[in-house]
Amino acid sequence: LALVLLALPLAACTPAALVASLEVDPPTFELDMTMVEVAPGVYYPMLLIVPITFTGSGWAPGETVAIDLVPGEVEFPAVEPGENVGIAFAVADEDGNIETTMESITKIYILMRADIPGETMALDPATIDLIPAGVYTIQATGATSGAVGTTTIEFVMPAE
Amino acid sequence: MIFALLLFVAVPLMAACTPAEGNVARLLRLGDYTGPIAVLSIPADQGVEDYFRYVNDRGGVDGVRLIVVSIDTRYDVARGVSAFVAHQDDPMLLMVDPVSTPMTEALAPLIAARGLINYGTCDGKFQAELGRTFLWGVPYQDGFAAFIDWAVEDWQAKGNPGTPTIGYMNWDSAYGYEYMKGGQEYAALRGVTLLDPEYYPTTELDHSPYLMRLRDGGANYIFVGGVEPAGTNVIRKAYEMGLTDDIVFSADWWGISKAGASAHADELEGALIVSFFLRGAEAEQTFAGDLWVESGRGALEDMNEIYAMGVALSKNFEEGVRLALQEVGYEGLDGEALYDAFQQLTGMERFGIVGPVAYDEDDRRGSTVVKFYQVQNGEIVPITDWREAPDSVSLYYGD
Repeated sequence: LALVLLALPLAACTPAALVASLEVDPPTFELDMTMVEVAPGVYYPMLLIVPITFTGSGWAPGETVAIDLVPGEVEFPAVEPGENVGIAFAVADEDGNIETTMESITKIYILMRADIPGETMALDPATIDLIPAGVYTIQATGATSGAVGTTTIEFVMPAE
Repeated sequence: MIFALLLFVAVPLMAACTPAEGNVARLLRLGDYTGPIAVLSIPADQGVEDYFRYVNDRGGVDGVRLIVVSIDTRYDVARGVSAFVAHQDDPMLLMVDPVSTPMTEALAPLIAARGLINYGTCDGKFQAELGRTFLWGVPYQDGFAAFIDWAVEDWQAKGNPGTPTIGYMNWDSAYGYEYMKGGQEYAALRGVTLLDPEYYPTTELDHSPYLMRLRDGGANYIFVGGVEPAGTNVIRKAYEMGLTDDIVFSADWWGISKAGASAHADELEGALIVSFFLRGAEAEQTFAGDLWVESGRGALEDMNEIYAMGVALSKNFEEGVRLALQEVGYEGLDGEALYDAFQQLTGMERFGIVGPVAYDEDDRRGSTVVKFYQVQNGEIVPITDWREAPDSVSLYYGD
């Protein structure tokens, strides 16, 4: 199986789950990713180049929003089973909007499940173990308001 | 029926008798244990763990046990932010220790909003802002200013006229830039020619283009940043290029560990290290060395000096909690109480591993002194006593 990653843009934006103390309108949370179908075997470094952008609105002005991947049954290095793992963060502007992108180091650790040895400080291609195909939940949590928004991302393996 | 009744009565009783956590004070460390700067994080964390255990084995701080919660963020700011958000509601969380400059910057407002305090590595901006971020040690730019002073002395002691030309190389990162925020101003103040900074990607494998530019600029001294082994790799490349014959190289305190000096003795011979904590055999001869052995960590010669620094930082937390308890008791122990207490640690000694604490109402520096070391025959040996690191933070950020 050629492990080529094709990420689909997300259309759905599920309603936010709110906590009792929430004082802002329900936040929205979306994910956008340019659809890039790459040739088999060249997902790296293509995956590092493709921007993965998170946007949203309705957050408390100025609050930091932590964006987590919910791993489900999938294991990630240095992540305890059952725990979410941070994949991005944003600071809401004065209108409560957020926009941020996933950093390369996160793509390496989460999407490629690879290592960055201290000796080279660079991705070790031999350790790449691509995230399994499937639909993953992504959860955004406002650090101040406690507001939570979710969306999903799907990773598929294109046909050879 | 009787069994059911017994069960009905016994289960709540048993639950009530379950040992509670007791009185605790927690430090959240957002380190890197499996990523690119694990070489820094792991020994520091070991020092914290061992020192807290040492204190707890002796009854804790007035009965309060010190707990460190260590999260592996892999040097990824996103993980650090998420980990903090997940732990921020812990009522006995008093302090956070994000082990990277960008993570510290991202978390500082969150930590302040929660009324907690945090450690910052050595970024002078937190000294300038006088907020709730307390530095581990000397601000980076002040350490660089101390290096400039040393270089001028060395230059003139060798009979050279005027002042030397100095080069600077570091990671292309917030950490790398911080040195120059005050460092450049201090160089100008001392009349030193400071070449344009050379910032290299953390992933750089060939440092020769950067080194060639500094050589061509006429550098007599080059200060190299980067967490081990990055700094070591730069100086090894310089050795390969024949530059170490004519140019004096110095690493910052995250570069050239005892193990690195031993492994690359020839290439690093003569290289300097500017450090706010003891290095080499000097570090082994402190309480941290005893603790290392007592904790079963292995042979003393295997102790990384950053372990000793971790012990010294733990002492801050211990004494801060002690002071806070005296002021507000356990019922009032929170981040605010620790914030007040940290500002009263002024002058405290920490086993001689670092200089006296400088924290007070107007100071967030962990200490104000550095020592200079040199690699000699694979060993790291001191070549100065503690020296005051000039304040260059205010030259950039203002008073």
